Amino acid sequence: MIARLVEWFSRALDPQDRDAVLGDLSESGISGAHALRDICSLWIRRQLTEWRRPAPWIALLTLVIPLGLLLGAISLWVADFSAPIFRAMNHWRGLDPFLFFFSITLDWQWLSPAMLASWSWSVGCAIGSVSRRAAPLNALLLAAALIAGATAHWPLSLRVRNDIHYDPIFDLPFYGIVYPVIVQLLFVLLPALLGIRHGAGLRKLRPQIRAFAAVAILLNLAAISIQIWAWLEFSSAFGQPGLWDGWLGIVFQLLALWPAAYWLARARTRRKALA
Amino acid sequence: MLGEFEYLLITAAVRLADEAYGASIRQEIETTTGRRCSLGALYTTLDRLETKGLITTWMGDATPQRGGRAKRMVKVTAAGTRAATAFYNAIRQVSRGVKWEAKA
Repeated sequence: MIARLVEWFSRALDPQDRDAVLGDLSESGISGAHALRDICSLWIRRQLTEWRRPAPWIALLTLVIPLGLLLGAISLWVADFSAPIFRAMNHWRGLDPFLFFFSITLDWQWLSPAMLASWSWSVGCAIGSVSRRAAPLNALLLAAALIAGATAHWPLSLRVRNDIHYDPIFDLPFYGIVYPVIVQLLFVLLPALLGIRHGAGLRKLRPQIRAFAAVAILLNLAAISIQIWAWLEFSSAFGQPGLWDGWLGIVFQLLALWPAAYWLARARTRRKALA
Repeated sequence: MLGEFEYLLITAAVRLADEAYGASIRQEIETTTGRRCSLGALYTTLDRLETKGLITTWMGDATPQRGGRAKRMVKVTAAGTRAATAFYNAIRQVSRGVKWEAKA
């Protein structure tokens, strides 16, 4: 059991570090709780050393806190408007599922969960690439910022406003409480964590791919930052944020889906390399 | 000026010469000082000394005794030798004329 924990904790170290440390423990005959203590002490010391540098703080102050709060709030908004759609899907008997899926796919708003996941992945990539070694703690702080963002935005959510159209849906415990948590876990936290992991290894990629990823991440971060104003407007006016208004909104939506193009480009490069 | 643990680590690495790597340095420090040396302290100090240019490290060969895992080999640079010499001389100078026998 402890051996497994040692193995699991050692994965937080760099591959070379991990090899050397596990080899040293094996050669010294140290196992069990002592080995676990050694691995943990090394990891904690590495994190403390890393946080003496400016990069993790830059990532924390410019990415983790502001964008984490914003993504937390937007995820609640996405949960607000998508809950009625799912609720309807469960209750519309006799509806052609293909036609229904086709009609909602054509609706730009249906892209919002994909956009949210894409933004979260981009934010994660940026955090991972800026604070590579300090990424675990920043990932933890990002999760806290997401919860704080959603909590701060909760009083403005559709689910707490008295509305005869929405109340029957949000009175159900699943759509009222569980569903927003699922949206935040699936479309924000999970993509952000995958993005952090990917961003931490970005420097190992080919320069062209790296440049493409860097430009796309920067453009996407700019797109998310612009939403802050929409979010403020939403907070004060109880209106929909202007995410999808005008041609700029459509450009942002297409831009937000850059990870799909990125993964296609990577897959193509890999296939070429294998051939 | 080096810290005490940095000096111990450099001295152990010089003594071990071509056999200086994580586990052997740890063993050497524990044997000579009688104090426990944690891997966390050892590896973060190695990083710090390498950043200062006082040692160089590289990944050595994997051996069966280590479960097929590589060693992080250590070599003290000329700057490291100078820093350790300066530390030793400072300790000698400051200790001149002082008797450390336990006084009741």
